[in-house]
Amino acid sequence: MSLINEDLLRIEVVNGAKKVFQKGLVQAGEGNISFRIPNKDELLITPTFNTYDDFEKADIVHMKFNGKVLSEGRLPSSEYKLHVAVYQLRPKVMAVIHTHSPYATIMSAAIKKIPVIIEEQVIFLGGYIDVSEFASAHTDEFSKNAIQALGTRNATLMANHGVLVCGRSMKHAVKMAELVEKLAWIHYGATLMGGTISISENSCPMFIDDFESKFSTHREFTSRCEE
Amino acid sequence: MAIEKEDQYRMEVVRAAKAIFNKHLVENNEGNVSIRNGKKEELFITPSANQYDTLNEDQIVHMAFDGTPLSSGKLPSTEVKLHIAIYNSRPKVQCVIHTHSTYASMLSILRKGIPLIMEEQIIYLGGSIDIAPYGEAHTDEIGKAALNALGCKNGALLANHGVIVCGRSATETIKFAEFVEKLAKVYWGTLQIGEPYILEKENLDKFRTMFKSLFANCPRSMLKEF
Repeated sequence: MSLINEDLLRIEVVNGAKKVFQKGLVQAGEGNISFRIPNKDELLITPTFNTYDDFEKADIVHMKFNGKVLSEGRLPSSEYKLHVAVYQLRPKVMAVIHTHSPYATIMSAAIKKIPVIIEEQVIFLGGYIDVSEFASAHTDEFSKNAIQALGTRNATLMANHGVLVCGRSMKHAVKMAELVEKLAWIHYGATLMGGTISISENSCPMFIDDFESKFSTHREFTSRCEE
Repeated sequence: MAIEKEDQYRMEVVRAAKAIFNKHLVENNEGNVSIRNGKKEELFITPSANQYDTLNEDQIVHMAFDGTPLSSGKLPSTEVKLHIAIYNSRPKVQCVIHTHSTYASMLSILRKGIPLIMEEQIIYLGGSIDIAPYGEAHTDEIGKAALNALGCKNGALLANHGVIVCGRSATETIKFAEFVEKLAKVYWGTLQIGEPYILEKENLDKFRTMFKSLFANCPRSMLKEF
């Protein structure tokens, strides 16, 4: 990997991080954003105790999947194991984002799944949004539970811990992080008004092909719409 | 030299005040921010009837912990005793912020503290956010009640009176104020649609260790029982 290319990839991470910050999906010290270095067991990730408003590409940490830090300066996000677990399991994934966006975090702390409520949810995310079983952060069990809750989809909530999304590009991943928050907000609001009516049975199969061809990152043969 | 340092503290108060205003944690006339004058028994605090949008260094009030004014011009925030109570009992604290952020204020009026719902809550604040019983504003009682609710932690709710946070620097104290509001919103939201999953029974010692080494600012003797 030439230095110039690595520089471009760092800019991807900075841009992704600034976007999720500007959209209000993370606050200082929350969440983390990473990008895979193509064809290597390495990633670029936001630093621990990240302050989104004043950080720059020199703050991004370059590291191996095995935990070895290759860059000088900042320490990596303490959630790097979660990112590595996703990259290792899903070769198509180029970007991973973890946020604490407000309504999704409410859902995650109330342990409430988001059923399929709008069609874009199927196209971009592959179906409903599950909640992983609680495990203490930074542990292998935490990653395992998150991966399990991802299933064949691109997003999951993690018990008391917000959102995890993965995408074929940083642009996809940012879009998904934003969509999860929007869906959580809608589901929250609809729940207060009397209950969400899921559209899974009717609409989900129609959009699974779009998901599979454009956005899916899993390795299964095909996705399922339902739990 | 000393003057320069004092100017820096004034600028730091203005910076923190504008930060919490821009994050919508306070409106004009609400809340207050102070910085301790190094190791002296003095502080710099936002003025009474503070207008955050037009606040500048000249409006920051310098005063001694015994109440002696050290600057001319504006009067200090009427909550200055609350700030001084915290500085007096916690030598490590360099910054105190009081906000009326919306969701935290709602909980403070319902007199509900925030249970442990996220692991970061331990790292930054020390754990659950307890609520101080009602004490009349501007009195010594509110200072005692706040310190009691803080325990060895960095944030508390004040009954019908919003949020109090303290830290070793302005930057981390701003973060705490923001984080308390986020937690209040998340807790409030979970109560609307169900029940929050509360973490008290989990093994969270590694996060307590992080709190103690990175952010705790209470006297060391209090941390022994933490």
